Amino acid sequence: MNRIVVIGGGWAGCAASIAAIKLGIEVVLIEKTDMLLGLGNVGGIMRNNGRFTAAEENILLGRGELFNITDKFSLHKNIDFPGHKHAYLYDVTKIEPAVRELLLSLGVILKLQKRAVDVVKEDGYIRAIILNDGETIYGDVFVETTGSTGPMGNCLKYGNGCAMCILRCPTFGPRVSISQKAGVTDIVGMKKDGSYGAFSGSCKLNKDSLSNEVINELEKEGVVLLPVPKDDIQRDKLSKKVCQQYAIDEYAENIILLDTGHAKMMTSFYPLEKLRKIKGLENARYEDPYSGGIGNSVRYLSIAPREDTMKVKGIKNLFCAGEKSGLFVGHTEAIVTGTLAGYNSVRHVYGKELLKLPTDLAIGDLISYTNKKMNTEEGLKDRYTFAGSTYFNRMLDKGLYSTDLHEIRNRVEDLNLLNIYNKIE
Amino acid sequence: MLKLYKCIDSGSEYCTCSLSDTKDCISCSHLRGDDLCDCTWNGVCILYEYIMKNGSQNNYRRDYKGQIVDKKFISNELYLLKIKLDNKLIRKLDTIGSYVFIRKDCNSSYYNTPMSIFDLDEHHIYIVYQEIGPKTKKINKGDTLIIKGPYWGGLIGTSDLSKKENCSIVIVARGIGQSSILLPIKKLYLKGNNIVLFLDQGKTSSLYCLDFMKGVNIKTILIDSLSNEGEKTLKNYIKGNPVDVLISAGADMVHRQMKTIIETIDKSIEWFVSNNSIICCGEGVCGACLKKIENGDRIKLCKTIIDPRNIY
Repeated sequence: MNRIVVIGGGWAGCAASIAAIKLGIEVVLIEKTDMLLGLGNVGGIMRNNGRFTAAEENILLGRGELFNITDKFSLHKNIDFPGHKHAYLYDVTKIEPAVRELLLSLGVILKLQKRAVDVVKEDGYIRAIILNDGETIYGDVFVETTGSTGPMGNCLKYGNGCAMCILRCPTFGPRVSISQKAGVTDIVGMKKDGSYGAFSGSCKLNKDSLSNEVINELEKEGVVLLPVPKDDIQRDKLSKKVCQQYAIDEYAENIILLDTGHAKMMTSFYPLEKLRKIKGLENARYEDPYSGGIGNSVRYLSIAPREDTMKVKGIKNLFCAGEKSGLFVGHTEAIVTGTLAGYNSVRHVYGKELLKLPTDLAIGDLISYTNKKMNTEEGLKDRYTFAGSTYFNRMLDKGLYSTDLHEIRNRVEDLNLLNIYNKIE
Repeated sequence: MLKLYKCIDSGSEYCTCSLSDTKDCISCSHLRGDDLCDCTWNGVCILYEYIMKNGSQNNYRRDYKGQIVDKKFISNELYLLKIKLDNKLIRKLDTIGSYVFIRKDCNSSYYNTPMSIFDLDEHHIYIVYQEIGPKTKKINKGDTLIIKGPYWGGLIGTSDLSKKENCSIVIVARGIGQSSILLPIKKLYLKGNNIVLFLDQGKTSSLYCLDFMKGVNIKTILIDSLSNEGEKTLKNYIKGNPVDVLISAGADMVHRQMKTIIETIDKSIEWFVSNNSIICCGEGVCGACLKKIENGDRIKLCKTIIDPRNIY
């Protein structure tokens, strides 16, 4: 039986696995930690701004399973916060078991706590992945979704050190770039000042450590804005973070909390002493990363050069998705790129021409636009998301942003792509 | 670029070592001069350790003084030393694969010679050695020794042997190879492993390790491992019984023979070998233990964790 091996169990890897197994192919998913979803275990923001359009496009293309789960586990729907409209916030404390159950019910072979450390390569093809315990996993096609975050040495060199994030490198070992092991040099993202990487854009406070007033408002409204004391406002920090869609003045002047099960705080890190000066946060403590008062994980240090079909350049049977495939931000971006990578990996198995989504769709346009921009130094300092900043502006300019379900459906139908992900014609 | 390997000292108080100062670390890509992470070490980051120490190396292995309280003739040129030693060092040596460098205190550091820890108790270490060269001649009862340690790379293999529990383990020891198997046998026996020892006196004309195995109830089979009959006995045992781990202790020819047996019978057996390299500094600096392997990498065998299949 043909087999697709997905390396990395975050949102992108889960999406790729589902896309492939739905077409009747055996799928093995390798994940180094003891949980799926990776940074999805501490994120939670869906459907804000252009992400709504992209999510609906992916559903109409035929793969809605993961969006159904994030919708189902949303604590808040259609909330607005500065710069963002109609966001859904899923409960990070409940989502992973649901996704795991879905993958298992579909028959995905999960290999948790197994870390891919090397490849067996032959004639330009990857034949197998070698795991840290020496096991060799053979496959026909491979999808790399190992992300671009950490490991510790990178977080130290390009950030403020290991802040003990959900990836838990000291426990489960460092991320290994599979494409690089196969001989393809990684692209590296930069901060505005030209140094490598960028900080993850948010951290989480333990909700129980906040004042009752803050907890009540958070649970009622989904969002709380707390003004930062004037002396503590730091606008320059905004340029160092991943999530440029949150790099606007409101985010420097206020502590913005979102209810994702934890209190998601929309800043990379914030010294605990200063944080505790803010009303309602007098006893606050961090939930993720544990040392959120000091720093956060550093990302974009390992991106594979790829085609718009998500195939990695230079290797005949390797695809990539999520942050591994570009300077993307967000779960939606991971899911839509993962779905296309998983789908095309099956087309590759059957020798079919690979699908390149047209730029008339937000998903196709993001994938292609990011690819072009990554060839320029300026482009390597930018981040790409349906939710804001450069790319959302482009969506607005091109008229791709829509919350009108009929309009989105018509677009997909007109392109003859309705349910394409369920067919290998 | 040279591949990155795991290092026996990673995660210990001796990591980072002087190799990091010269960007020659065995495991960390940053400390080899690269811009980005590429290691496979599971544990607290080596670069982190380096930065946290502000780049100052103050954790070198130190010299301890020891005294030879007994020297026993075993056979031919074979002797057993009982050495009184600081308990702090003994505790660090109480592990599989440990060794020290010894020399008489009146000698210069040229005379440092690596010795496997044969056995130990609270205040003594025991070493069995052959008196065959300038470093080992003229060591006598009553002598004061300079002992440097602890070192841990005495057995080469990829996983942590001390964590094996309830496994089937075959140990093949020949001649002076017996000097490095007693501690492993004692430790592995306590963890419920089923151990079968194939013992060959080799050129030593002695099965001295048996005298130290009180309370250790393992099956011992005497063989002439390099004879056809000995090889047949071994092969038949490995074919007919479940074997998870094979440890070979002896000269390189014993290791090569074991590799052939493993590869013809069961490639999945985890294999460990006594470290037969010429070791002079134990710190990856001098280069005496360098071995070029098939992929072209030059491996420092005093510290690198590697599957012995790559060496033999």
